[in-house]
This record gives sequence, C-alpha cells and structure tokens, in this order.
Amino acid sequence: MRKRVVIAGSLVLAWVAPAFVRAAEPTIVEKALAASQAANAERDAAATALAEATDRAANSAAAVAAAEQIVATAKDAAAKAAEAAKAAGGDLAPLAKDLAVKATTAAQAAEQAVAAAKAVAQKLAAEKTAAEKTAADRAAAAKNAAEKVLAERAFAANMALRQAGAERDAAQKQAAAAAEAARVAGEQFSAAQQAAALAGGESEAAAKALAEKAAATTAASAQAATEQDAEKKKAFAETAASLEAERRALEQAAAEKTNMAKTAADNLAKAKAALEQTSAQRTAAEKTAGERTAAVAVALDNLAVAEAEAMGGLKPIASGQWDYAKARHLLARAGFGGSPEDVAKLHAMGLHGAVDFLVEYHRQPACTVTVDIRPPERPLGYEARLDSSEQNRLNEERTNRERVQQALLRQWWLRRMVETPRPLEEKLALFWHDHFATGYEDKLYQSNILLKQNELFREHADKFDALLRGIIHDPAMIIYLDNHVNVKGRGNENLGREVLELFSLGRDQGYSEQDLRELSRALTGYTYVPNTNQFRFNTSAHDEGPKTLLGRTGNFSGDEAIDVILGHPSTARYAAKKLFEYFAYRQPADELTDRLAHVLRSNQYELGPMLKNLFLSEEFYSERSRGQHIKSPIELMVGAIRTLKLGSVDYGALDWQVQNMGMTLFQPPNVSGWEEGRYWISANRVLLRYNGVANLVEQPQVDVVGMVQGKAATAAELVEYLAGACLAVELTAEQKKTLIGFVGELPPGDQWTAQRDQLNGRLRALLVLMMSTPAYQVS
Amino acid sequence: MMSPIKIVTRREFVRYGAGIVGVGAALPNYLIRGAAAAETAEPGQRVLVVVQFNGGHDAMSALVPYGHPEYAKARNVTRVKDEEIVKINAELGLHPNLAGFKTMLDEGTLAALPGVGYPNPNLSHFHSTDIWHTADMRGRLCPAGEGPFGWIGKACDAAYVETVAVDGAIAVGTGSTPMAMWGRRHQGIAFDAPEAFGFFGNRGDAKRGEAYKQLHELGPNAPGPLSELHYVSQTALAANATSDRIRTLAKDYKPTIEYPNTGLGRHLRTIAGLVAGGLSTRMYFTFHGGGFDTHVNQRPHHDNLMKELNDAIVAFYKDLGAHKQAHRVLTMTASEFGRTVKENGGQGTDHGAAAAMFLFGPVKPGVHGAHPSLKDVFGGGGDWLKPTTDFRSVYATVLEKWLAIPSQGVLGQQYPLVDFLA
Repeated sequence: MRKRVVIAGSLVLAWVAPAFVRAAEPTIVEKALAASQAANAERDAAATALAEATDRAANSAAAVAAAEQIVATAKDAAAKAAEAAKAAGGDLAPLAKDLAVKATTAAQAAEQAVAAAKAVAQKLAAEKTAAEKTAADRAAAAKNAAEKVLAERAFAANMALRQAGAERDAAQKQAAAAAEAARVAGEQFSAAQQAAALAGGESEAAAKALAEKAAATTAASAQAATEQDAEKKKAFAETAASLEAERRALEQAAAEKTNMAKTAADNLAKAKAALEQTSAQRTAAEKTAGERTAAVAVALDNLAVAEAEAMGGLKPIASGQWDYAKARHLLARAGFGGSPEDVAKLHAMGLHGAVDFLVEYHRQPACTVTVDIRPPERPLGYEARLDSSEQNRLNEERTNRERVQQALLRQWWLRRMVETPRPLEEKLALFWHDHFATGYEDKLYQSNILLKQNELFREHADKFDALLRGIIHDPAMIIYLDNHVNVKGRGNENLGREVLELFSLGRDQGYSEQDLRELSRALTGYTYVPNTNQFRFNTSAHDEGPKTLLGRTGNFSGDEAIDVILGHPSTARYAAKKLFEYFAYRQPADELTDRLAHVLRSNQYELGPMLKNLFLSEEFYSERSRGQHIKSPIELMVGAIRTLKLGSVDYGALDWQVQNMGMTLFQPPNVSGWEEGRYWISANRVLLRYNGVANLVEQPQVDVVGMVQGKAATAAELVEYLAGACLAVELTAEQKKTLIGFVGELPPGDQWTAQRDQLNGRLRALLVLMMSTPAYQVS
Repeated sequence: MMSPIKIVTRREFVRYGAGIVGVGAALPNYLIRGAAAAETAEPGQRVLVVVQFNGGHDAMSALVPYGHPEYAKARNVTRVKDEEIVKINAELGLHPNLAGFKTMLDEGTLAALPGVGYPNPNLSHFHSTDIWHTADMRGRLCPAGEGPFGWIGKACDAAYVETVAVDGAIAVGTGSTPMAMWGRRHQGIAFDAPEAFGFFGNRGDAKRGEAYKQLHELGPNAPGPLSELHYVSQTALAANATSDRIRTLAKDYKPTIEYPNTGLGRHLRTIAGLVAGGLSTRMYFTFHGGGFDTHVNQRPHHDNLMKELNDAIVAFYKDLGAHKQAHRVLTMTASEFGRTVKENGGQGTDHGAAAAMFLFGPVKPGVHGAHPSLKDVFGGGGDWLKPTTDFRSVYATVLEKWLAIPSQGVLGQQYPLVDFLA
C-alpha cells in the first residue's frame, strides 16, 4: 500500500496538466503527498513510542512480580516466626516474639512496596494503552492520508480531464469557425473566377471586333487609293473615314474591357490568396481540435489509471489501443454481441465512451418486453385435503398450467436478451440467476415466484449487497433451500450453508461449520406465506439468542448476519472472482481478483466502478481472454440473432434449441448453477449448435447484402469483413482461401441491389460456413 | 504442420500415439480423426446395453411375487392375478405380457435380479436418477472436480487410458448426454434419432459441403493446444467423423425382423444396426419411454409398457441372433426406484425403494438373489421393499465380468459381485 502511494505520488507529477506543475503554489496532490509523508512519520514515531511504552510496562510488571515474590517470602517468614514464637518456651519466647513482630513489620513494608510498584505499573500500563491508541490513530491517519493522495490524484486527473475537455470544446468551436470562413472564402473565390472569366471573354470579343474593324478600314482606304472614278473614290474615302471613326470607338471600348479584365484577374488572385489562407487556418484549427480530442482521450486514460490506483484496481489499456476487434470483444462479453454495424458504432464511441455506454445502462431506455404470469389458482398443499382422484386431477391441471407458464417465462427472458437496449443488464441478470441458482422442478412448481426472483436480479443487477439481502427474503429461494422449515430449535441449514458456500464467502474461504450453524439460527423465521407467496418474518420461529458469526457476536437477525458477511473480505473476493471469470477468463491469478475485490468493496458492493475497471483493463483484452470463452447456448443463439439482426424470432423454437444444447432457463442443474466452458461442448452438442445457427442464418429475412454493401467489393474483402465482425479468432490463410473460393466472383457493386435475392442466397451460405465452425463457438 | 501419418485404428493410435501425447493432453487432429472415424470392433468385442425406465418401475408387476401372501393383500386393482401369471417358480412369475421373457429364460438368455436398490433411498426422481447414473450418493452435488461423473463415462475413462474413444459410449433416444455417460475425459455421444445426428447446414449443396469439410479439416486456428478453440475443434472433428458413420450404418441397416414401431423398438433397432455394422462402441444407453411413474390407473398403462418391453427385447435378440451378434451383447434394465408395496387410492402405486432388474443375452439364466420380503418393509409410509442386492454390485459385475474393466475406480470401492453371467 505504502509503496504504491509513493509511486503514485511521483507519477502524478508527470501526469497532471503542465499548469498544475508550473504553479508556484504546491498542487493539492503535492500537499496531500506532504501530508501523507508527515502522517507516515507520525505513525512511525507513534509505533516507536508504543514499543518503548510496552517495554516500560513489561519491566514494571516484572518489578511488581518480583516485589510480590518478596512479600510472599516475608509473609512466609513472619508466619514461621509467629509459629516459632508460639512453640518457643522460657527465655526464648520474648526473642521469638520480637522476631515474629519484626518479620510481620518487614512483610508489611514489603506489601507497601508492592502497592507502590503496582501503582507505577498501572500508570505505565495506562501509558501503554494510550500509546497503543495513539499508534492506531496515527496508523489510521497515515492510511487516510495515503488514500487522500490517491483520491487527490484521481481528483487532479479529473480536473485535467475537465480542462482538456474545455480546451477540446474550444478548439472544436474554432475549427468550426475556421471551416465556415474557409467555406465563405471558397464561395468568394468561385465568384471571382466567374467574374474574371466573363471579363476576359468580353475583352477578347472587343479586341476581335476592333481587329475586324481595322481590317475593314484598311481595305476601304486601299480601295479609295486605287479607284480611278472620282465619285467612287470619294465614296470609298468617306466609307474609310467612317470606318476609321468606328474603329477608334471600338479601340476605346476594347481598352476599357481590357482594364476590366485586369481588375477581375486581380480580384481573382486576391480571392485565391484569401482562400488559401482560410484553408490553412481551417487545417490548423482542425489539427488543434484533433490534438485536443486526443488530449481528452489521454486525460480519460489518466483518470482511469488514477481511479484504478485509488481503488487498487486493474491496470487499464490506453485509448490508443482501442480498435474494432476490441469493440467486438467488449460487446460479446458485456452483452450478447451485435451486428457489424453495432460493433462499428461502439468502436466509434472510443474506449471510455463504449465502456460507459454499456456499464451506465440506466441511461438507456429500459426493455419493455413483459410477460403475464399468474399465481397458482390454489396454494400448494391444497390438494392434500381432497380425495385422491380429485387430487390427481388438480395436480395434473396445475402441472399443465405451470408447464405453459414456464415456457412463457423462458421465452420472455430470451426475447428480452435479444431486444434489450441494455445488454449488460440482462447479462448480469443471467449471471445472478446462475449465482443464486433456483430451479423450478421438484420443489417450486410455481412460475410467478421465479418471475419475482428474476425481477430482483434485474432491479439490483449492479448491487451485490442488495441482492444478498434480497435473496434471504426471496420466497423462491426460501422454498428451494427449505428455509420455511428452518425454525428455532429445529434448524435446517440448507439456506445457511449455501449462503456461505455459494452466495458470499465461497467454499473453504474462512468460515467454519459453527459459523454455518449460527447463520442458520439467524435465518430462522425467514419464511413465506403459502397463499400469497409473500415473504414473512415469523417472529415466533426466529431464534433471538446471541450468535457468534465470523468472529462477531450479537443477537443477529438474518439481515444483520448478512451485514456481518458483507464485512468479511472473502465476500468481495469471491464475487469479484466469479464476475471476472464470467466476463473475462477462467482461473485468474489471485492478485488480479484481489484488486477487483478491492474496487468492489471500496464502492460498497456497487458493481459499476468494478465493471468499468474490468472492461477497461489490460487483462480483459489480453490473449488469455479473447477467443478463450466457450459461448453458452444462450450466448451462441441470442448472439447470432443479434448479429444477423433478425426482426422476427420464433422464441418457442429458440427456447427448445437452447434447452437441447443443455441450458434450460429457470432450471439450472443444481444450486451451484451451470457448469460453464467445455461442459457445453460434446459431439452431439457441437452439431446441434452448428445446425441451430445455420437455421437462423438461412432465414429469408437475413439480408447479408444489406450488411456488407459499401463495406466490401471483392470476395476477399467480404470474407475479411464478415470474419472480423463475427469471429473472435483469426481464420487461417487456408480457411480464408476456402471461403473466398466458395464465394467466387462478385458482381459489380452497382448490380448488388438488382441481384439482391440471388446474392443473399450465396452470402447466407457463406455465413453458415463461417458460423458453423469451431471459431464461432468461442468469444 | 504435422506430417500426414495415416493412422486408422485406435490400436495403431495407441502404438504410435501414446509416446507422443500424454493422457488428457490435446491430441493432434489426425490422431483424433484416426481414432474416431473408422474404427471397427474387434471380433467378439463385448457390448453392454442399458435400458432405462424413467419414472420408477413397479417391478412387482413385472416379476410378480405371487408366492408371498402379502402381495394379494396389498394389491387389488393393480394386482397381476394368479391365473394370468407366467410362473417361473413357486414364488415368482412374469407379467402375462412378458411371455417372450419366459421363452428367453427357457432358452437361457434371461436373468432376473429381484430387489435391487441402495440403502437410504432418495425418492426424488431427479436425485435418485442421478444416484443410479453416477453410482455416487451425492449425485450432482459433488464438489467441482469430483463430479458429477457417470458410471459409464468413468468406465470409458478406465477402459481408454492412453487415448480418448469418442464413440466409447453412445446414448440413443436423447438429445442431451445422460449423466451416466459424463466421464472426466469421455463425453460419449448422444442423439435422439440417428438420422438427426449430423450437420445439415449444407442444404444439399455439394459445393458448400466440400467447403465445410475443408474448413473442418484444416485444423484449429488457435495456437495453444490447451485453448478452448482447440478443444471445440477436436470435438467437432470427432462429431463429424462419427455422425456420418452412425447415420450411414443406421440408414443402411437391414434388420432380419420387423421391430415394433415403439420408442424402445426404434432405439434397439438403431443399436442393432450399429453393433452389427461393427462400430467399436462398447456401451449403449437407451430409454423405455412412456412413463413408469404410475401413480394413477396403473394396470392398463403398465400392461402396455410390458408389452412394448417384451416385443422390443424379443425382436432385438432375434435380430442380433440372426446377425450372429447375440453372443456379444448383454442388455440390462434399470430404473431410479421401485414403488410402494400397497396400492394408493388412485389405483396406482407411489415412489418406493428396491425393484427387480432384468438381464438379457449371455447370462446364467434364472433368478439371482432373494426377492425382498413384503412383510419386513421400511420407509416413511412403512411400505418400501428392502434391497437384497446393491445396484453397484450389478454394475461391478457387468464391468468386471463382462467388459473387463476394473470396477473399483469407477464405483469408488469394491462391491461384491453377483453371479449372473454365463
């Protein structure tokens, strides 16, 4: 902890915006760091003082013990002397008596000495206690100061982000203004070009007319000169003179046009210069805006790092590493995948934007798919009072009715997973269904309480503490784990056991069989009302006596026991590990899940910050994670539907298929939920999965042409694009070659729309080949 | 790339492969292909077929303890009457619809074990089925790593130590793999109907089929042999290789007799085709569906179940006999529990404990073990038969004496064997 603080302190100076570093005043981080160092010094001094006080107290206690030994010896001597005095006769009697008196006096004196030594010892012990308290206070203060450094650093990073954001916004504004100026200059340039062209044309026309006139004038003069007939000669001369006058006029006009053309050319040159200048300005402003945007990404990265440090979380990747493949990975894991377009949208949000979009799902509209599930017409056990034929008839009726309701419930949830605008919410609800696994068969036979439980998982999907509190009040869980028969004096440990073993601390993670019994006692009386299926706390069945749970003692209720459990470090560790394995990869190093657990606990079991830390982390995007998760049947099928953008889905068939693949919603195999990973894969299940996906792809509504139009022109580009969008692992060169060969020559892009149906047939076959593969089974 | 060594049988695989790959390690594809695809059974290789009765069988109506006076007292509507019974001795007789079983008994190919069960019975269908499938009282509540593993899956693990026999066990009549077949390394193969076991995404397009084949032959596209992708790739290879063979064998099979058109009849016909076709599978698992959970109106329903059972088993062994395969196929029935001695108010019976099992094929014919007393009963309603033979003793006998697989590792301890095999 201390080491990390020091590292953090040096890093922060490098990270915070230059303004913070250059300031004459020390930054808040520097102040916090100085305070932390001072607190550390005080803590160390207090520890030394405590050690000394402990020594002194020990010495003094030893002195008391020695003095007590002397008292005992003296008393013993006095007693012996008294006895000797009694026994002594004659002359010796007075001497013996005197000795006895002296011995008694000596003993009394020794006792006084002990009392004095005890007083000193008490004082020193009190001083030691005080030193202990001081040392504890100083240690706490040092810890607080260290945490403050991290918090301040996160704060500083946040401020830097704000500053960077403001600078980006300003730069973007400037870039927009410069772009507008450049646009205006461009228009002016165009106008000037037109004017110059026009003036140039007119000038040329005038010059041409002048030349023609001059030629005519010269011709007339020549004729006048050579003509013999005087009258005709005169006429020619007059004509020549007249032409000459016209020529002069034209000469004047041409000069004017030439001038105008020159002016227009000048204007054009000016407009061109203006355009060049504004364009350069626009480019510069855009560059600045780009830089400022990049700086915001860096500031976001820094903030994520600072927050991770402050919370002790996992190391994040940088925005610069964010790419399309990572966006696809994130959408597949934090949700149920999506179409190539969905992935592109997520990619465009940037790393932090994408993670926020998924984790802060409350900002998205809620899914509106609902289901109508009715409570049983008669409470369970009602039939027991009837004669057997009536009993059997009603049993059958109930069974049939509930079977239909179960199917409705499963289909409802599948549809939510397909349609929700908040994929992480459903993904988490599915996680909690697996974590707090409750099955319909054998005990419940009631769909309505499973719906109620499912709503609990969704409402508190991102709050583990609320779920743990909620689950001991949940009628479905109470029935499933027999807590309705857990009553004072006749305990049933089923729920208590699973709360510790599966729901909170985890098997062998720091609780004993005795803790389990004590928790079960705390849970007595947590029952339900059979007719209404409402939770009921039955005070008369509750054991109100004191319990000792995980080292704490009190007259705990079940809810108070949950508080004790939430305070145990194993609880956050176990939840963090399961969540890590669900979203990233199996069997992570303890160090990683400890970090995540720290984030979870420092946020009071709210999942949001932990999930953000996870979805930003290097581990989440590592080779160990990507392409290393075998999709559950639901991830496979719901994912394919979302990828293919199927608008109309047969949810009955979908439910049937995922059940065949081994996943029946509301019927996990047992209270520990589904086995994940390779459990999903067997010879027949692989082919069931292939066929299931192929059936989805082959639906006429799947428009692959629409999906790829404008993204790819050749078969090679097409294969590359679709593989990048659909597969978590790179295809080998040979596999690509096979697929490209299968697609063959594509028609020119402008004919795709006309040939849509035929082309879709071919491309759907390509998708079948791509998705009916081992590669599509992993994400 | 690996050098393209052609290895076509599992024996060769073991010879070449054992030195290359450790147990449980990922196998190179060509080895999996070789091991999975085209292996043929060794001559005389023994085969076990398990027929599961889901729901809890009232075996007292199949192997009827008519010699016990309590039987007639406890049963009224569900009773198989003395005059109907096909008697096999003074104590026990067969349901009238099991007349074919009597013939098999006389021919020396039927054995009956009355009173098979286990102590402290669990009366949940779900949990007791798990117990029968895993031979572990914890069923699926085993801690991770310890299970749940099925007895057939564990038997495959024990039989194929150096390699993985993808088709070591096959379940017919179910889309999902029965827990009995879940091994540590072996998953078995399960399909509802053989014609539906395969990849059908090619839609009859030969060009697409060729591309599919190429894509799957090119091998896994992940570097790590322990990666999930590698695992999926291998399983897919095995599935593609075996499914084609299984479909072909089932499609081309010419039974010598017409099987009854019932679930069990169809499943046994499929199994006969695979056995006669020479598939190297050693353990088959299938179901007699139709519902043995006869709480209500038991007699007519159970009569029908017995007829279906009789007709399917008789046809199966006649057909196997005609194909000269009957000597190497042992069949046994199993159900998660028996039923109460007394009838309930609904002309049926409720969940009980011990029940009889039947074995067919190369057995020591006759009844092995005592039928439980109908007087000295136990349980919640005081109405359950006490087991006289532990079902794990039956498993142990079949494993050791029929399949030559050591049973202790499979069952967790050594159970006494029962002398019912020829």
